[in-house]
Amino acid sequence: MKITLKTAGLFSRYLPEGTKGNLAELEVKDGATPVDVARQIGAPTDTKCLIVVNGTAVPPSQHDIFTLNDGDAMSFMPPLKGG
Amino acid sequence: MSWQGKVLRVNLTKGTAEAEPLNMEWAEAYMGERGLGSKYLWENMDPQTDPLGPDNVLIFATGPLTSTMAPTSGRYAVLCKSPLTGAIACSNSGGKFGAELKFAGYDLLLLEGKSDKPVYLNIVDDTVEILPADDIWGTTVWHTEEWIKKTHNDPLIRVASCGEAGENLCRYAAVVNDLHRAAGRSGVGAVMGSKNLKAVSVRGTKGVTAADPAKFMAAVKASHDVMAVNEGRQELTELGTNSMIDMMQEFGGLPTRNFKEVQFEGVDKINTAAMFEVKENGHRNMVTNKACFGCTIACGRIAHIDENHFSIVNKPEYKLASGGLEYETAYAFGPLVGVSDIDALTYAGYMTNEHGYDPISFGGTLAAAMELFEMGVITKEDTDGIDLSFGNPEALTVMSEKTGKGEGFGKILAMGSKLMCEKYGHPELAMHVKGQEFAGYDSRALQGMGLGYATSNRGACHLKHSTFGEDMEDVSGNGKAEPCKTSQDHVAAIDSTGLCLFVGDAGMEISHFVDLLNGAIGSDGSQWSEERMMETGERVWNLERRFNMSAGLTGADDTLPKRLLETPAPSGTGKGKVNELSKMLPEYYKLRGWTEDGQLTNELIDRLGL
Ligand code: SF4
Repeated sequence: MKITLKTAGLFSRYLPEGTKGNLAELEVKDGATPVDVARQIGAPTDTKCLIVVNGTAVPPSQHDIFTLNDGDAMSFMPPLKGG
Repeated sequence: MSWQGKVLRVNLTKGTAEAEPLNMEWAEAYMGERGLGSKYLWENMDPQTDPLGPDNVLIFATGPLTSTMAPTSGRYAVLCKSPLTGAIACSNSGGKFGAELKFAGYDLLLLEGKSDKPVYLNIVDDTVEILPADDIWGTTVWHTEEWIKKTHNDPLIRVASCGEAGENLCRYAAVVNDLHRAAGRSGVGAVMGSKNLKAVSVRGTKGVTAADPAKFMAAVKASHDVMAVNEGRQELTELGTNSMIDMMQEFGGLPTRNFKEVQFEGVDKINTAAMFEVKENGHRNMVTNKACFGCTIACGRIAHIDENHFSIVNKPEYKLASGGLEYETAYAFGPLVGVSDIDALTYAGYMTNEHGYDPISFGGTLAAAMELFEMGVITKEDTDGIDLSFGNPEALTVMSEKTGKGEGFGKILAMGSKLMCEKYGHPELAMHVKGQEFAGYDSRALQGMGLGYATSNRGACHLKHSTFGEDMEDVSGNGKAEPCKTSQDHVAAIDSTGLCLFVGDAGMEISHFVDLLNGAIGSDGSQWSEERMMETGERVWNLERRFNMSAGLTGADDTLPKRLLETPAPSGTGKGKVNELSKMLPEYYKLRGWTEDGQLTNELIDRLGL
């Protein structure tokens, strides 16, 4: 199945080579979790990262449980912190 | 050691300056900077004092690690009673000034009274002079710094001053040092201005010593090592704090158009990618990054404005590179007022540094004025002919200048959102806690943040606690009181060391601080430990609270605006939610050991030795 992956900040370096900007289409296995996606692109699977699927954040404790569906828009970004 | 053991007490009414020994008993109990400064404030003034009257006390406090080789050791805090909130003000800053004050031989500078004419305080080690400031009164922070360096023929003098905003008693005026580092919040610059004190300039040549140099340097190395490889540190170095704007947008916690919305359609035009983007004419906003004294993170941004931008036409002086967008500035001048013109945001940032005021409170006040304008409560007749619609970049650039200079409608904006909205009969539009405007985190999506805002001793502030992990996990009031309380104590301890809070985001743990303190201060039988740091943080928090209660605040001030408590977030992770403060607050009071109405008990006062 295919998902759209959006990143920000330094996480953009994990997007597939040749990606322009911070958005990429990605072929992932059926029933993939956000952690599976992170692993696939060689990014940290640290559960503290910010994962948002279709506009709603997935709690960190669900990052390896929540299953993605075909066509989902997943954002994968560094964790929230003060600035 | 690492303490100089000296406080400089200056009485501006009498024109005297005398050094006195640092009260080491207080330093043991409250550490330094925020904690020790609070203790000196508490012992030296009546909390009911008029904040803009001569009896308010203004303190510049360093910590035991300030000016040492520990990372980020340039910090100092400015404390007084706030004219914005009526509560305790404690605002810290980086740059090089704090370290220089310590090098001159002083841990703390305490200013009392009011000069009958404009003066500045010049400190060169043991020589302290109160000098006439007629040539710099009425001028900017930038001019003041340049003038003092030229007049004393020394480019290495460090200057902290209030701009015209402080002189004009803008309720959220800042003390700015090293051109663009600021003790920005709660109006400490207005207190400086109210004393007719334009600036403090310092040159110090004494250095500091660590009690156990080998132990201390091992702790310094360990701190640097952990930060060198940390991803959070890399992000701060390469992108600065504004990298947060994409995350808040995605999460749905980015306050937009005076908190009517929580996501901003223009975010891609003002985020870090936009700062780095090279435009067709070759202009790029971002020039380089910059570090404060002793800092290997260098989160500061140096930027410049496109020379064709409307804000600087015929103003060649603003073509220079200067302090650029950090997250809070980008939020307050961007989504909060609906503006997505990066050059307009950068220009307004210059104004806050040059004239000396807090960008967060200014943005919050301008956003409220824009809502009043949208409702027709105020019109162009009130706003000097400027269209104050949300999203108008000219409204931002013109009003940022007018507020800094205290001109026209800028005088109204200088009141802060609470007083301004009361003046126009719409207090509900002022988004504040205890009179201070919010940072860039919406507490309907970030529930624990709401509790932190409501209970912060200096009014709405994001830097006094950290519940981001819990807020990402669950958008409800459940389980937020304990991490809020614990992180408040933790932050109060870190703020009392003399280091920058950001080292925590860059990998340093509390154990690193313990090792640094033990190496620096030494083993005189009172070693630091994690437990002692947390207890110190709790003591500091409660002393600040006690100051506020004595100043006349009550538990009723621990609240949030109706918009956050009653109007559900329209989108994002918190869609449909309001902040659940009423659930969190009683739990929090109980954990603090306070009464049901938020008062300190005698038992607690005794236990903490307040
Ligand atoms: S992390 Fe940023 S604010 Fe903190 S000391 Fe370093 S440059 Fe200054």
